[in-house]
Amino acid sequence: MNLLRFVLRRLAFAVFVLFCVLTMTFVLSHLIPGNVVQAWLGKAAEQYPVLAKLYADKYHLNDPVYVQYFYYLAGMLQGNLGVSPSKGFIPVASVIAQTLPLTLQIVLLAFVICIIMGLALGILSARYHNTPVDTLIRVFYLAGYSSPPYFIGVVILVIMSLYLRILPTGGAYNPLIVSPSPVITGFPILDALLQGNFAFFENASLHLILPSLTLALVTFGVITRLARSSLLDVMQMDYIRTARSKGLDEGTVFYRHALPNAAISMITISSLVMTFLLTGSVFVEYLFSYPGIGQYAYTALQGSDYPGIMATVFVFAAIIVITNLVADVLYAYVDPEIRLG
Amino acid sequence: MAQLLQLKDFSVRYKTSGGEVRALDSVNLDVGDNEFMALVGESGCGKTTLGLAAIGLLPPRVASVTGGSISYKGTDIAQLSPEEMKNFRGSEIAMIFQEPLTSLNPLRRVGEQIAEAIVLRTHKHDKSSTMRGPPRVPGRKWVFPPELKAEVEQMLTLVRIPDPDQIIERYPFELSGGMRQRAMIAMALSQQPALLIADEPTTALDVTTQAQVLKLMKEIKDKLGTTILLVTHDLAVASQVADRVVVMYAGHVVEDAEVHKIFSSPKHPYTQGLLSCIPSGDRDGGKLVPIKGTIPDLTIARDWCQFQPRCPYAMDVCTKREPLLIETEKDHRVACFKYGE
Amino acid sequence: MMTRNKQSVIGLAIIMTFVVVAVVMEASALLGVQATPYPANPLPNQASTPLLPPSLAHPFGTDNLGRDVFSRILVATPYDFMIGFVVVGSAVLIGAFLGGLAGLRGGLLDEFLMRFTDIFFALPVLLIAMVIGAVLGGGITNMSVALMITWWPSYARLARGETLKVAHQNYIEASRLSGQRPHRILFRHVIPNISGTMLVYATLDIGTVILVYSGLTFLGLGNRPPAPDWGQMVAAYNGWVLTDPWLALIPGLVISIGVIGFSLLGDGIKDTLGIR
Repeated sequence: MNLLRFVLRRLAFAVFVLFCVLTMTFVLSHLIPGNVVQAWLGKAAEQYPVLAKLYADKYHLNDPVYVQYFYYLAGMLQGNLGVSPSKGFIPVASVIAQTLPLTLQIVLLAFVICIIMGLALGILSARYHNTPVDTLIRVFYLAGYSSPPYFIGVVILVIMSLYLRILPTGGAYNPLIVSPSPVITGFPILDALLQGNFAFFENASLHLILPSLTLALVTFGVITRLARSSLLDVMQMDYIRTARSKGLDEGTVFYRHALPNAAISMITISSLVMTFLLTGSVFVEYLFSYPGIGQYAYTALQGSDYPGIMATVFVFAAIIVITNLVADVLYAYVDPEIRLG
Repeated sequence: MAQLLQLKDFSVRYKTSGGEVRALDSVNLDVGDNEFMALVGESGCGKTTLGLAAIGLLPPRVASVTGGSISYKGTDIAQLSPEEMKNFRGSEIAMIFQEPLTSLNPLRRVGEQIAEAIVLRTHKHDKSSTMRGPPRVPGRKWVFPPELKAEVEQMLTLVRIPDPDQIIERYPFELSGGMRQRAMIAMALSQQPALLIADEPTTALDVTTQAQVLKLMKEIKDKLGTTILLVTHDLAVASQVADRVVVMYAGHVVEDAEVHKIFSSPKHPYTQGLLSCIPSGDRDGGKLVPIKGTIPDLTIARDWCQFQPRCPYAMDVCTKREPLLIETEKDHRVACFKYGE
Repeated sequence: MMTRNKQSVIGLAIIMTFVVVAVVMEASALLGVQATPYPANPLPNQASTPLLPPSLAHPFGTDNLGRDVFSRILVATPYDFMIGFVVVGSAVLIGAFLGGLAGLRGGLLDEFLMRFTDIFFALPVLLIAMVIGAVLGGGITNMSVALMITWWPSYARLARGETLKVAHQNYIEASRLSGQRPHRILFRHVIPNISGTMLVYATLDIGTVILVYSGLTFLGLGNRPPAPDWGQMVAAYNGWVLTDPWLALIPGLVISIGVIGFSLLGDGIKDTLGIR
């Protein structure tokens, strides 16, 4: 059962990487010059010295480093990530529970748009390569991924708000018109749908469009470029020549023999896409005032909120590691040489 | 004997970054029905180009037919549109290639690839046939319909592959080099072509397997009446199986005769040179005599004998004009001024 | 040969323009001379009228404090543009050396390098830089170091991969058999041969660094205000995006053009050298 062994090995490695990330964030947070307590609590440490001492004791901030490390890990496993000064000292874990699903909503939507756009354009580009269609597509995606996400976002904002005025330009939903449903899954849009709150569903979905579109525009280039070059490479392969020698028409050769073989290499790019989308979310959420984890990362950074920063970095890393793992497993499943050999 | 393939003054040029290469220069050749012809020469002499031209698979943007005609059963295939040429491929003219691993689709099972060819044949003969081929997306789930499975196994048995019912489920990487080449031959023969072109099919195989594959090809020619055009650089290989040998040099045919004539009385200096290069078991202590010099640069147009710089018998006239292919004896053609103008 | 390739010519032209501007700006800063039409950080009484749209006098308009946007963009060029060269340059040097050595030597060194770089790949560059920025503070030096730390692994992997392709060539084996020490083999044989691919990736990558750095300055991790940075300008002018859109658009556009220049050049080199 080669596949199982492969999956287990990759899983073990993923856990190892996450562990390294945790350690790294711990090490970094303790490199802060100056008093750790002050850094973690900000100005409040001076104003409320008694509370500061209680906090320091509770989180073992005055103990030797290795003791702290142990409690840090223990805390992590229990879901205790500290409290967030930039958000009024509420637990970091609850901030993440509120913001992460929102970001996932736009990231997943962007992922889907990205893949569809990227594949379609990549296929078109390869099929008609060296024609004006190809050049046009290349210019389009070049402009896309050469531009910072906030630039594209600003362009879209300007167009939408000044000229088109059809989509909302900020926030996750309009609280004056609709309100969310009680939490079931943690994803506001799903919760609304499951409970029949269609007004919220519609309103929130509209608010998703611009941020997701911006993210997708910045990222689709990666997929298009890879799809195009994979397809072009595959078309040079010997087995394509063999397929033609059988008397198959070009269309069949392309869709039956070239495309499936090229598609495999695109599985591996999905983790790169995820990286782009997650880092892009920081900017996009800022621009569109969308209260997701990207915005929280920004707020935490501005507010020197170390627990917040560490937590968001860890969450991002975890998502990427998981995406990597899924992609690797999928690839192993699809490639017969790994599956059987 | 009817001529299956006829080349008259056939010329092909390649556009390369170094200039235009005259890959084939006024080639005259007749391949008879049910003949086993070997096309022999060094790399770059044009033999592969000739093979590709015969099946219409010359690289479209790079190669162009600049003169003459190449006729299959009377039709000039160089003049056909890609659509029309496609109808000849597989069903009339088939080709097998040098590297069986890269020439077979790595993601599809061997049986599926052969089945694809059989389905093509079935549909061609019986337009109303409902036989379904392998699905568009490669996957393990597709089960062979019984009649199709029987035919695939039959083809595999024809090429002497043991345990065909197991082999059809295998992927190309799971088979040995010799088996892969046999599978390719089976695939090529599935549509019952009249002409099979084999481009260096044994070069990538070890000597024992080589002998087996050659023997198989001879059997096919004898039992099925297929005409075989074997492209090879190895004169010894040609001697084992061919009825007729055509020696090529720098884009020209230099000698064309029955196989025993080539070996017993080679006329062209190049052919003689090739023969003295073959290590032979029954020449006691004889030295291997290489042909001095190197093959000419084909980007430079030369209107006199291409072999002249290396020829031990070079005469004055050899630098003035090109020798034409003339019949010096019955059924033995040479292009050399030694035998007349 | 490269001039046959239109896109590399355009790319090169764009890049050279930026480089010239950067050099002039840096030189003038060192000499204490003002090279821009208006001061980039004027005192309130030196400033022009705020929020002027683009015109002949102010090609990119003025911002909310009356500062000439064009001058501010020029002044930021030595940092925001040249950081690409600095980071990628060092990443290539470190990566080529380590990766080449690992590829040649194989064994434990190779395994270790692979696992080590694997960890880096799981983490987005921006995030690590953010964390380092949070801990050590912002500014171009800290950010350069942060970026250098996160950038070299991909070059190490690339160098290793290319070295593996080349290392089994016969002349390398011959070198090794004749007793050459690995360092010499590395420098005399391996590096010249992997340079082509590395050059293509490096060129494309410089654009990426510029993009990432602009993101960092956007987040406030760049030079201390009032010193301008392109990304920071976009963030700062975001409030006026509905009334005076050019303020936020123009720095973004400048960044995009810079990055496109490298993409064009990189693709052009790739096509010319025939590299995948």
